[in-house]
Amino acid sequence: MSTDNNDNEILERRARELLEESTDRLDAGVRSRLTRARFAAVEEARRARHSIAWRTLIPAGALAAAAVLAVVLWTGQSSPPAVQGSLDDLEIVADGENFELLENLDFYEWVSTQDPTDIG
Amino acid sequence: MTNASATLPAALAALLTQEPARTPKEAVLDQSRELERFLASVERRAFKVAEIAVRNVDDALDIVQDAMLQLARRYAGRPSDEWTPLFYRILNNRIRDCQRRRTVRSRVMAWLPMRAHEDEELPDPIETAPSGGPGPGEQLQAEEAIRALERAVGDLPQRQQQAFLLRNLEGLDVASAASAMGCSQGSVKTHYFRALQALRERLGDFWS
Repeated sequence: MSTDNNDNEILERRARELLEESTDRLDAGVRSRLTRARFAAVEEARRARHSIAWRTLIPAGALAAAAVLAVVLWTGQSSPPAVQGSLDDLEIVADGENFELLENLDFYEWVSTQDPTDIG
Repeated sequence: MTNASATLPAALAALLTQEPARTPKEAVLDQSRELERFLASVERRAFKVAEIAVRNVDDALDIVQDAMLQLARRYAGRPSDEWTPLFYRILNNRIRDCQRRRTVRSRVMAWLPMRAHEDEELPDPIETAPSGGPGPGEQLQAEEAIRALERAVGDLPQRQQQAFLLRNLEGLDVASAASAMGCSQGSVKTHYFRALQALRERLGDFWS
């Protein structure tokens, strides 16, 4: 049994030496093609990484845009009276018949600050 | 409270001593360099593994190139200590695909009368026949021993061949070889042991 183990160890060691020697003896053509293959693989990894980045950025950007749109729509829906009020004010101000009101704006402002019970 | 006060300086010290964060561009460069180093460290042995298995230089080069590209495309983002078993797993799959294609092709060719006896893939029997005696010099002896070993390993059943080359040439431990071969560690040990037995019987003369 120990002879078997010993023989196996000799075989393993000798085989390793020979195979390593064999890889060291590869001709220049093979070594050159291996180098080119390695460079191509490294370039491929770089390209794959960029494409992953884009594949991640595009959905993230779309999600962010959708979120912004949702927020805008939601806040727009919650404040229609304010928009409506502003439009009414604009109509009053733009109406030609109300120029008098504009001329006496200071007076109307003073009236609005007075206690209604004191007036008259 | 005591624990918090004890861990806070340690955390602060770790924060101060840690390296500054890398920019994304630096991270890509680092990964590229690491991948290149890894591929440079395995490419020759990978070629030898493929060449022994398919016995053709061009096919072996194509297999290694495919394996490199596949690793780069799919697994470059994985931790680098996972690359070796992943790479050899891809390599073994490519070798198996090549052998299957050849089997199919040789079956088809066998039906063609004009090409029935032609098979360029088979090694030249005169060139590969074992020499009757030792060569004139040490160099020749070594070359002869290498050729004999490569032929013997190439003749092993596929799983034994993989186990032998991954353990002996690539130097993978049993766990990594099992991961590369997609089998249990026990299977790797069995295949490896059988490979050694077969090689001892075949190459007895070269080791005495």
